[in-house]
Amino acid sequence: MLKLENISKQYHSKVVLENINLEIESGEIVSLLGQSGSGKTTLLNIILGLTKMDNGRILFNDQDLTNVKMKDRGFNIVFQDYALFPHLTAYENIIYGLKNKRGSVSEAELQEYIDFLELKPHLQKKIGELSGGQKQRVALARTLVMKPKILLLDEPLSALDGVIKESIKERIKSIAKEFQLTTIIVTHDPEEALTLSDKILIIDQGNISQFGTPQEIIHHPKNEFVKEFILKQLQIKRQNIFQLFGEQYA
Amino acid sequence: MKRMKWLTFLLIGLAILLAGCGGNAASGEGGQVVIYSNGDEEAIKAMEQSLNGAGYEGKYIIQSLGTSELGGKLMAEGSKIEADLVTMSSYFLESAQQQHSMFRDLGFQTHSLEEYPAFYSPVLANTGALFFNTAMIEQKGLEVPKSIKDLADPSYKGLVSIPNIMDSSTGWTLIQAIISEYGEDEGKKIMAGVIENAGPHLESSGSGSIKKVQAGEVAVGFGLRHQAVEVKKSGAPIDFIDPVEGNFSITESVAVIDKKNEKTDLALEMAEVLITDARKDLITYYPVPLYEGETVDEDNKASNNKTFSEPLTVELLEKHQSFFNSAK
Amino acid sequence: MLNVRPEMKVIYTSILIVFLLFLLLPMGTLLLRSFETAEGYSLTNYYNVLSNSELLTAFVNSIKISGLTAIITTILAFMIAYALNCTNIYRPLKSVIKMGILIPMLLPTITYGFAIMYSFGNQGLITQLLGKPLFDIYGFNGLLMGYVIYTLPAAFLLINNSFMYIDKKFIIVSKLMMDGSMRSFLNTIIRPMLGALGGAFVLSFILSFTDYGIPASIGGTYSVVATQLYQVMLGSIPNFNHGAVIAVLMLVPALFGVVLLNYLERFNFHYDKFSQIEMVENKIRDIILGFISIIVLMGMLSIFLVMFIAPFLTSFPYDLTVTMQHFINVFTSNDLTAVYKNSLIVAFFTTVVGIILAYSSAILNTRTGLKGRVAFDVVSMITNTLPGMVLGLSYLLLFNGSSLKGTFTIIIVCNIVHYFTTPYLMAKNSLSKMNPSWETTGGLLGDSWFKTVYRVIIPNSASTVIEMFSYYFINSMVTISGIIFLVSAQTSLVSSKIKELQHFAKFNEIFVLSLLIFFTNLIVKLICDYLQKKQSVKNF
Repeated sequence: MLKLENISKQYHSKVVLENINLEIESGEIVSLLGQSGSGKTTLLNIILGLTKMDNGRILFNDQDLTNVKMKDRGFNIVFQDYALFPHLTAYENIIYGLKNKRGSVSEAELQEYIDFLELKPHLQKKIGELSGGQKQRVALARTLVMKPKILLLDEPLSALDGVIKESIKERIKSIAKEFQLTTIIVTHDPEEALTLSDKILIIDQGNISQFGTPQEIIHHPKNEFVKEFILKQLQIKRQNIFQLFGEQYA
Repeated sequence: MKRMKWLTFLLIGLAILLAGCGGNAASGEGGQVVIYSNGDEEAIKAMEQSLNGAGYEGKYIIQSLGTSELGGKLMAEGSKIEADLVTMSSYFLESAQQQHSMFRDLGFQTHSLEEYPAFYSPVLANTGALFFNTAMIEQKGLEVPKSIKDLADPSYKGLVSIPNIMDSSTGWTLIQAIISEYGEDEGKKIMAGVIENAGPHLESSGSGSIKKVQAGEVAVGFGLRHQAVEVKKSGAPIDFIDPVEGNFSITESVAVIDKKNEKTDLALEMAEVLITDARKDLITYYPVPLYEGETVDEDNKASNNKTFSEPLTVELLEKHQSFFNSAK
Repeated sequence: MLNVRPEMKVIYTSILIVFLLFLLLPMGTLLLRSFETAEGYSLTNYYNVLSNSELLTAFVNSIKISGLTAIITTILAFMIAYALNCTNIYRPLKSVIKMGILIPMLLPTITYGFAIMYSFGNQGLITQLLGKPLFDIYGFNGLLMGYVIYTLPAAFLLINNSFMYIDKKFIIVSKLMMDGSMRSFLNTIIRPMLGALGGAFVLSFILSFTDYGIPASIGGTYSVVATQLYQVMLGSIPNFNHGAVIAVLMLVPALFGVVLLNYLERFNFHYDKFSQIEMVENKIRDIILGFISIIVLMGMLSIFLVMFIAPFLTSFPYDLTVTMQHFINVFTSNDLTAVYKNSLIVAFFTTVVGIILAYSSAILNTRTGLKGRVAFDVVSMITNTLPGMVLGLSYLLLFNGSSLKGTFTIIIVCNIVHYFTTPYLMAKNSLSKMNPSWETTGGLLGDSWFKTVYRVIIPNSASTVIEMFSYYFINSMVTISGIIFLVSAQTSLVSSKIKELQHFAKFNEIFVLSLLIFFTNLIVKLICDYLQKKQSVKNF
């Protein structure tokens, strides 16, 4: 269980996060949803250990991680643009971290990850030769073989085309289930957040606007912000799709 | 309209490049007499003053060059040289005239003490001497040198500055002194020792060594006698010695390039001004009498004046240069 | 791509004629003269030059010292760029370092030598402060120091620029993958920087190999190619054919360098995207790198410090009374003010005509479908390879008998061609990023091609034009290698005048003139930076 207590952050006297309190259960997928500049990425970086917070504590399974360095927290991240090493092949990228952590993953386990992410045909390709979805999967594999305690994903779907988007979504869900992996996702897209995660944390101007399951957010929006900016978008989308297909498909 | 403006702008730019008028800033001064001189600071100042005094201010432009640089230009370019008038070491003028017949006869009476060819007349003579920084000599516990030979002594290592004969005619007076006194064989050994001691302080300018001695970069040097006298008078811890090998001199003369245009006539007038008016100042800086009626005071009379046994020519210079290089 | 119009062809042809006349023809002449002997064309000159032990020593010396310079410069430039890009050093300090490191670019190289002499010589400022001379400055040590100062800004700019295009997220990834610091450093910094580091090495090597100003002032008895070339051309026994041979030989390392650069190009990373991200905190790293950067900067600036002090004193280091006499002397001397005026004239015309030439070439290259527009890329590659001394020498050989000899024009043209590459690439880079359909849009809205260029293209690249201005102006103010063979009494420039003053050891005048160049360049640079900033604010 990951627990955030009273987390605050300022940049040059501009408040970015204010008194964030949050509990995430093991194996849950949680999305941090907000507009650009809302503070969601800062919160992700604070959990990762990259950014220092001004106040508050981070607890993981009752262990205080507040002053534990990024490297020692055991969390890992897949960046929006994947940050794959361009001079290495897909396979070399996947096993990159294993060279530092020998024996943590057996050959069989490694193959399992590769099969699970369907990367076998692409292993010897250079990064430049991979499609967006393939890069995403290589980046996931590279991170998963490190056996992170929490998987952080920064806008994992924003660089992908429609169909691949849906398949990666499924993939992320099945990873969380298969490996019982707590997953935290940053996104600005309400549809993505609500269809992908167990719980959603809506952030507005550094404060928690609402934290709850997709059902709770759809049916019991807590305030105007959630109604105006989150639900309205979805309703318009639904409207458009209904119009396209006709009401009977609802 | 704007299209035309842009087009003309571009074409004008290209036209400037192609036609080569480059802003044409040079043309305004095109009428000036160009003087090339290998003279030192003081000589140039004296020449400028006399020319300005005679009303030529703004009608000439002086470019100073190293002796070898100017010599090279004279030899390579002949009368195509940019200059209309040169002041230069006499031996170079002789050789240039021989090769290119490039100078015009001066055509006025000079009343010089010695006989010179019709196309040049001396403006000054330079005499070589030894000098030292009294403070440095004391500080380093050195003996005051009496001869050029003394400078080859290992105790002066890194503390000697001499002009390089490859670039400076003052450097030649040093070589002349060594060869006349000791001959080429023994001379070469002494030369080698002096060069070794001078190390990086081999100066391309005749006035380089006195500056180094004055600045305390080195303790002793060989260079222009009058400069040492001057510096000593100014109160700096400097003294000079006429070396036992002798004080040798080199004359620098004025000559007019025969370009057969109106600037040549103007250059001739200026040449006369340099010999008549500038000499009054020049003799105080370079105290060697060259014309009738000139006198100098006691301090500036070198005690050991000598002349080299052969006439000074570029060929002799080259011979002495290779003597110098073989001693390196 | 836009249809080809007749006016494009006119401009294209005119520019090509310029380069034919002032680049290819001089180069051809140079090559021809290097084979010319009294008995027709043969390899005799090459044989003579290469069997001359003095020249050979100069070549070996040049290669040795330029190689060492390149190594030192690359390492220092890398460390400083690393400190600026990959640490959490206090921001204002970073800006100071970034500005300070570029200061030497505002001065002619010949000044460096005198600054070193007056700092580390027996009576130098730094020697006086330390009590005894650190090392012998004349020759190898002084040259090395001068070359490093000279090449550091250029190498730094190159490395710093590629640092900005490195994705720093990789550093985080590498940390999360549990890399040790060495592996992390090699994989996320050195590997993507290999191309730039190699480039900086080659650049520093070529710059120091071909510079004339530094050895002219502080070379001592350590002979290098540049001074040998000068002596062969303008010494007591000039030999133009041998000069041509040395110039051709001087080109060899430059050619080799360009080949090497093209090879290194393959190592350059092309990240899809790069983003700013916080640096991992590491106090020790920050302190060490900050310290190194400050030491390098202070070391460099302390050498120039004397230049700002000595000319205000009666006779440094003996008579330390403050005086303005040296400045008054310079400003009341017709000679010196004329020289300063000449420099301004040359810089101004070089800049204006140079910008027109480079900008037009870039427009034709990037924004038209003109056949043969690649020619400009070829030209810019050639001018990039050519050392200034070689270009100047080839002009001397070709134009010596013509009416161009001894004019400002020949100096201006030499500068324009010598420094063509960078402004051309600046313009090319900015023009190729612009929306390609602007000309079509403009045409549909009734503009002629010139009108669109004037109304749309130029305003949108104003910031680049300003950058080109500052580059051309500053470089033509400081260059000496390019113009040393071309100046005459009536077209003497500040940098060549300094060489003449050196002959009389008039150091105070040298420093006053250097300060004049320095402040002129500084003002131009500050104005250009300000205008550029204003431009970019306006555009966003």
